[in-house]
Parts: sequence; C-alpha cells; structure tokens
Amino acid sequence: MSKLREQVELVTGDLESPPEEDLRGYVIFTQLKMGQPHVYAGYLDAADDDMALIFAREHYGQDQECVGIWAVPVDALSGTDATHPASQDVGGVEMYQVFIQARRGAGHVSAETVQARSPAEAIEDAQRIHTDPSKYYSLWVAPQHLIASTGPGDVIWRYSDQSYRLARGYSKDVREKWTKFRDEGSLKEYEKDDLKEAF
Amino acid sequence: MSGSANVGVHVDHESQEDPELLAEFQAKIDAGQLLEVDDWMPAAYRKGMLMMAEHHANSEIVGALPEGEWITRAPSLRRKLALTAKVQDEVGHGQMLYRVSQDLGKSRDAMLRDLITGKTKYHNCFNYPAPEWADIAMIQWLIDGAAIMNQKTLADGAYGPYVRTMRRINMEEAFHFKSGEDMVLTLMSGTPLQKKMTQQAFDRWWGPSLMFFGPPDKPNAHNLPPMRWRMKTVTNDELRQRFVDRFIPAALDLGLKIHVVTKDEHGFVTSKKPDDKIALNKATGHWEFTAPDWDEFFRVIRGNGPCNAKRLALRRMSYEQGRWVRQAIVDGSASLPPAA
Repeated sequence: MSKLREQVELVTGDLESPPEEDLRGYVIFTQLKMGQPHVYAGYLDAADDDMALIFAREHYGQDQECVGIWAVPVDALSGTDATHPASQDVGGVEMYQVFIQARRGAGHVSAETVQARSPAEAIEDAQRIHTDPSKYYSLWVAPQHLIASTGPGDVIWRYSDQSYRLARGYSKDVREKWTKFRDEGSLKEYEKDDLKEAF
Repeated sequence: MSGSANVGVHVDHESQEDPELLAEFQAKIDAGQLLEVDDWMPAAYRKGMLMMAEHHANSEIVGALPEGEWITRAPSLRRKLALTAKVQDEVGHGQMLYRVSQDLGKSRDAMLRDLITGKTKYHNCFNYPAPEWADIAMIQWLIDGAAIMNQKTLADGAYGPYVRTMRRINMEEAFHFKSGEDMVLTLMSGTPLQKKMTQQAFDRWWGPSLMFFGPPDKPNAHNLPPMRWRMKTVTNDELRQRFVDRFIPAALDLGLKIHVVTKDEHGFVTSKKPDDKIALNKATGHWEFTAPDWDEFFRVIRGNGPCNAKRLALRRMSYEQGRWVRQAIVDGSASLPPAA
C-alpha cells in the first residue's frame, strides 16, 4: 500500500493559504423514469454546470435507476418562500420551469413551464394554474435556459451489477448467514432496528 | 455514518428572544411541523443547528479517512468495490451536510479550515486506528449500526433541511450496515485466525461504539433546548441502551466475547478482562454493561486521542495540495501542481 499516509507531516496551527470563495450551490432534481417529473434529490456545490452534472450523476444518480438529472443553480431559483425572493425586474419573455412543494417539509417536484418576463411574473402565472393554495405549500420557478440537464438517452444509472453498493445486494446472504448463529426469534428482534427504507 | 449525538450543543438562554415569536416557534415544533431555513428561529437554535450539522459533516469527511486506507488492501474485488462506494457515499454525505450548514450562515471554506485547524470537532471514534481488515468490518457493523440508530431519531427532528438530508443519508447507510454485517458474519464463519482477528477488532471498537452516543445524560436532558426544540429526539443514554440491547445479544450469539479493556496511546489494547456486568436484566428487559471510560472520551475529544493529529494532518495535506485544482476549476488561474 502507498506509504503516503505514514509520511504526512503532522503540521498544526493556522493554514498558510488564504481563505477561498465557496463554489456555486446547485439544487439537484432526478427523474427516475421517462415521462415522470423531476424530483428534488438534494443540494451540491460545484464550480460550473458541467461539474454539477458530473457530481450529481455520481451522488444522486447511482442510488436508484435514474434517467435524467437537472442541476439548477440556487441563485437561479425564485419562489414563494423567503429563501428565494423573486426578482420583479422585467426582461424579455422567457420560459420558466415551475416546481411545486406539496406540503411543508417535502421536496419540490417539477410541474409545467410558463412564459413570463420576470421571475415574479412566472410565479404569478404558476399561481394562476395552481389556484388551490391548500394543494401545495410553496412554488419555485427557474428560467429554463439556466437549468443544466443531462441529455436524452444519456446513461446515468449503470446497468452493470450494482448489488455491491446497495443494501438489497446483501440482505438475503446476510440473513442466511445469521441463521447459522441465531434462532428465528432473536433474529426477528434484531431486525426490528433495520432501516426499512433503503436503496 | 456518524450522527452528531455527542456534539455539545450549548444553547444560550433564550430570554432575550421575543416571547411571542418564541411561543409561536415552540408551537410549530410541538405540532410536529418541519422548520425551513427562512422561518423565524431563536438565534440559539440557528447556532445549535449549525454546530450540529457542521459537526456531522466533519465526521463524515474524517470518517472516510480510516476506511479509505483499506481500499487498496480489501480482500476481494467485491469488497474493494463496496468499500470504494461506501467511502464515496460518506464524502457525499459530508458535502450534503456542509450545504445544510452553509444555508445556516457559515461558508464551506470556513468550515473546512476550522476542521483542519482544530477549531471545530468531528466524531471521536475516528481518532482510533483501524490496523486490521476486521476493524473495517467492525466500523461498518458497530459504528454504522450506532450511527443508524442515532440518525433514525434525527430524521424525526424539526429542522426540515437536516431532516430531508438525514432521510437520504439513512437510505444509503442501510448498504453500509448490511455489508458490515456480511463482513463480520463471513469472518466469524471463517478460520480460527479470522475469528481471533475479529475478536481483537471487536475489543478495540466496543468502547468507542458505546461512547458514540455521547456522554451520560444530564438529569434534565428532556427539558433542555436540544430536546425541547427537537434538534434531538432521544437522549444519549436512551440511544446507548437501544444499541446495547441490539448488539450485545448479537455479538454473544456470534461467539464474540465482550471485554473491558485498557489501551495504550496508540489505541491498541494492552489488557482485557471479561465484562462481568453483561447480563439481561429480566425485570427491565434491558442488557446491563460496563460504562465506557469517560475520562478517555474527554481526553480524546480534547485532541489527545491515538489518531487526532494524523487525521487532521491528512485533511490539511489534501486541502493544501488540492488548492491548485480548485483554482484551476474556478478561474483557470493555476499553472502546474506544486512539486510533491
């Protein structure tokens, strides 16, 4: 094995290099099946759109079958919540993607697109479509041209054997091995603490 | 891996806050609502959540270091692939949790620098060595097992962004635990030498696993802000009891013996004797056990553990040696990498 780790100098104290700027924040949405909406997966930081898509493919695209990824720069999002205030500045007409958060705490899911001259106008348009405020908690919009997207037919989820990196790749084997050591009763008790939701 | 149960969240007294806003905030929490980053929250809550998420993120990043050392030495291709994927997951969890922390008001670079210079902490258990392959099995079974017990309860917390991150992390964590079980079961079904190695690794990791949930509860734990504000939902001692109730009988059935050990400054066991407190208390239905050495816990947390200096030095090296890469991707300003 590499001896690199044994040769690391045990330096302490302040860092020599100056502080750095953070990279750009992105919100990642994944599409699990063709024709289905893009669903909020999480955040990541990247230097640019290409890097965001590379990270997103690795980090959010390998847990379950995934056919498409959108990376939306956080600063391109406007919403009905105070986190993403909507600019009133009117420009040319462009296409906005709408995302709906069904209830407080849930992730946003992509809905329709609207044409508008500003983020604020796009939100108003979206609210005209989603007239029943009890049906959703918040709305986000983002100019479509700022959304980085994987291409159609792009292979994200690897179709080679992924069982080594998923819980279900071990479950059956592990249970069988346990039965050589433990009776059914104590095994059942032990399994109560297993995570029920798993990739 | 690694929840933040042992981070000391010292929340200031909330008396300076507007009582009406505070009551509204508490009502939201008591009603089981999730808080979002733009909701009003007491300054102490925001600070406490930041500390918790940052400590958790640090732990994910540092936790990958002992395991990363073993990727090149994994005993089979499948184990190598699995360990690589696991380390990648942990670093990804760190990235997600730094993002949650950034939204609470601290830059990622500041967090990385504070970690390296020792201004912030990470989980104590990563200051212990992993000298054998069986240590990797034990980390994935015991430490990830402990982390899951903790993180399941953190996913019932009140802070939306942290809760959503925790749910996703837990779904990936299930793989780490299952593969850990598989490794431990394989080793304990193996040769006498494999069993011996596994017992020795278990002796090294049992103490840190018990310490994983943090120091013993303060008498009024349930009424202190971390619980009242649902930053945590179960106390350290309650979680520790759940952990031993699950893992003591499993370890015994596997043929492992539970010892009380003493260790040298490198984290290696120098003496051990059977933990004679290990027994199921029929009246309470809970397992009894010898509490870990809390002096050791505080010694290690203050920076004097077997691997504290080594872990931080490696983190410092990758931060400094990665600087030209970061510069190159941000503005293309870097030229050649510095000579190693």
